[in-house]
Formats: sequence, structure tokens, C-alpha cells
Amino acid sequence: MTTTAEHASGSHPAPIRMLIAKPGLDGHDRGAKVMARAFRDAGFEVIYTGLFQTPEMIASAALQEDVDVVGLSILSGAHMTLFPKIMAALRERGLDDVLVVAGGTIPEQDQTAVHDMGIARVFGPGTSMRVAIDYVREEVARRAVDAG
Amino acid sequence: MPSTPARALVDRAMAGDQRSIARLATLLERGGASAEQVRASLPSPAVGRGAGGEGHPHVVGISGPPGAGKSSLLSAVARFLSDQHRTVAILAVDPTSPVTGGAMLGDRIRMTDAALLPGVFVRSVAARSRLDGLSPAVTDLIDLFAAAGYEKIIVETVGSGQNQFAVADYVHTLVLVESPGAGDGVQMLKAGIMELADVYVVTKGDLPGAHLVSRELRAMLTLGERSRDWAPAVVLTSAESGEGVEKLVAALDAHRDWLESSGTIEDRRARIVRSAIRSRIEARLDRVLESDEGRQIVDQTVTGERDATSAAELIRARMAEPVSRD
Repeated sequence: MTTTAEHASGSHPAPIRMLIAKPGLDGHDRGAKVMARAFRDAGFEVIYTGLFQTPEMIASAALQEDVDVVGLSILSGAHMTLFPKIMAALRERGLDDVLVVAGGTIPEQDQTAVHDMGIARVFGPGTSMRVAIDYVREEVARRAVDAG
Repeated sequence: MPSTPARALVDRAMAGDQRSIARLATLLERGGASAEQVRASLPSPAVGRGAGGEGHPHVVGISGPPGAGKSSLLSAVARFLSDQHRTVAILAVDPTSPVTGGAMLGDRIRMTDAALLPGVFVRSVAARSRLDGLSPAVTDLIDLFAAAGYEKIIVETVGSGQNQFAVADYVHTLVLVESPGAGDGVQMLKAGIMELADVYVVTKGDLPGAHLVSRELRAMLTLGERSRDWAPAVVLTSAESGEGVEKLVAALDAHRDWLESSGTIEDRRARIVRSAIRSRIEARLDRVLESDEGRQIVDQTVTGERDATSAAELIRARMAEPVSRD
């Protein structure tokens, strides 16, 4: 086996696995790609599903990939319809404990409702990458400790 | 997720529970003590057994340059197999950043619809420390999906070049994918992976030039003398129209049958078992090197207190000691 110096010295801990998905009929994937790149550069293993994902595709990917976190990017305004379906599809597969965060254009007045659906954090336009990455890293670590 | 004993997870995985299979894959990828516990709970390694048949998975490797259409092709293959009530697990390997340790695993984009079908499991795998198109956990992951009862296990390598053929040591059947515009007939004459494949696929069959590539491949295959009596198939496919997918699956099945009937399966088994042994030793070696004592030995060699040969002897001795359950 060929091993790079960094890996041989064990300087990388087990990477956090993250699914980044674009649900529904929304062709704007620049935000999702910027996020995917930033999390990759922060040492995450990012599984990117691409555009036009149904709730079932997202939940099935989260299940088979055993991700620690699901990031939903939405700019279509359909979050109040799609998010409950995605959360239900995740619960159906026993993935209640997976951290779910969202990014995109989600108006202030919807944020409480989105939070109540089980989405832990919403990162609106202008959020710094650092903030999102630090939050996900700390929250995944916290949940791992809680789970024992 | 609460820490469940590996044995209970393995029992659920063998009963077909996707969540348990996925969790075990993560533990195997993590390496170290968690992987050793899972390994100990898995049934005897499937890799040494036959190809196809009851409880005997057919392990297929698929390699080719980046963007040749490997993932799209596998999506079409998975759809075809699912329609026939057959099962397939796809291990899609993508590169890990040597700088940050992160990875962008994008093969699933082509497969999110196929992954919903009954009997299909798609797992994205980061290459982590390996630079040969595979992952350090590749044999363990093959064993896991074999234990879970998948009939075909397909390993998609990182987009690879002429000299990356390590995958051949892990599979029963090797598929090489080329696409139109891949160069002229001289590229086909070059040594390396071109010599090793059992089945050749020309993707994007709907594009101009695809027929030329498949003709050149066929010409290349008639030029040399092959030591074995399997005549490699050349299949023209289009993931867009589904053309050629049925032929490709038939070629894979025909190769599996030929391995059994010709007895060549014995050589392949030995090759796969050698790789499985090697990866276990390498996993153990990495663990020792990364332990406190391993680091100390490396430091002593850096400062000149010890030479590399005696360091290697010491490491080898540590590798022989029983693994602590940390």
C-alpha cells in the first residue's frame, strides 16, 4: 500500500462524513458547490448528490453513506413543503439522530417552523464558511459524546 | 448512534438491514481497533470463495480515466440487475486530498435514482491513504457486502491512468472503460492496465468516434498472444439510451462462468487472498507506526539513536503482539 507522509503520521482523525443535497426543482447549485468545496477543504468527506433530489433519494443516500450530517441547500422557496418530507423520510429510516442543517434563501419568518421540523441550524446568505464548518464540527462531536 | 457490539450489527447486516451495513462500512473504513472487532465478527472471508452462485459473490473491478462514464455506466448496470431481481453493491472510490484529508465524493450524483431500487446499495468511499485508485478498507468492504448477501460487488476505482492496475488483485473480473477521443491505436498498444482487463467497455456509444475506439480495441486484442483462453469482450454502451448494458452484464456473467469452468478461479482466488493478507498486515503496520511507541521509534531513528533496520525489526516485533482493545 502506498501511503502519503501525512497519513502515515496519523495526523488526520476519522473524517466527518457529510451529505450535501439540493432538494426539489431548483437548478441553482453554486451555493451547494461552494459549501461542498469548503467542507472538503476543512477535511470532511463530502458526498454531493447533485440537483433535483427527491426526499427519498436524500434519505436513502444518508442511510447508505452513514453520514454524520446532512446539508440541504434550497433557493426555490419550497422549503416549507420539502423539508417536512425529507425529515419524515429520514425518520422512516431510523435516522433521527443525524444532524440536519440547511442553507439558502429561507425567510426570517419561516425559521422557527424550520427549526421545529428538526433542522438544527439555518445558514442564510452571507454566512461565513468558518461559522458553518465550526458549528457542524462541534455539533457532530457533541452528538457523538451524547451517544456514548 | 449508540455504540452497538459489532456482532449484533453484523447479525442485522446479514439480515439485510441497510443501516447496519452502512455503519459497519464506516467502522471498517475507520481502521484500528473498531475495524478489527468488525472483522472478527464477519463470517469467514468471502474473498477466497468462488465467483457467483449461492453465497459466493462475483467481485468486479471497473477502472478507466476520469470522466469516461464509469458511474453513469454502473447506474445503468444497477438498474438492469435490479429489474432482473438480482442484487448489486457498488463501492465508488474517489480521491482524498493529500493536503487536508478531505474528499469530494461525487460518483453518487450519477446513481441517486438507481440507489433507490431494490437490491442496490451504493457506497461512496474515499481513497484516504491509498494512491492506487482503491481504499485501505477495500477488502474489508468487499467482505462486508459479501456477508450481507450481495451477488455482484462492483468496485469503481478513482479515475485512473495507464499504470494503475492494483484493482486487478482484488477482483474476479476486471472491466476497463474507455470513451471516444481517448487517443489512437498506439495508446491501446501500451503496456499496463490495457493488458489486464477481462472485459473492455467503450462508453458514450452515441458520440462520434465511439465505434472507432471499439474497433481499435478489438484490433489490439487480436495482435498479442494471450496466455489464457478467455477472449476479452469489447462492449459498446450508452448510459443515455441503455444500449449495450444487457450485453455488458452478459459478458460479466460469461466471464464468471468461464473462471469456474476453466479452473482459472483458483488463480484469482489465490491472488485475492494474497491481497487480503497483505492489507491486513499493512493495517496492523499502520497501527503500530501510529501508536505512541511507533512514533517514539520513528523519532529515535530521526535523531540517529537507531538505524532504520533496527527500527524496522522493532516495529515488526510489535506487530506480532496481540492487539489491545482500545
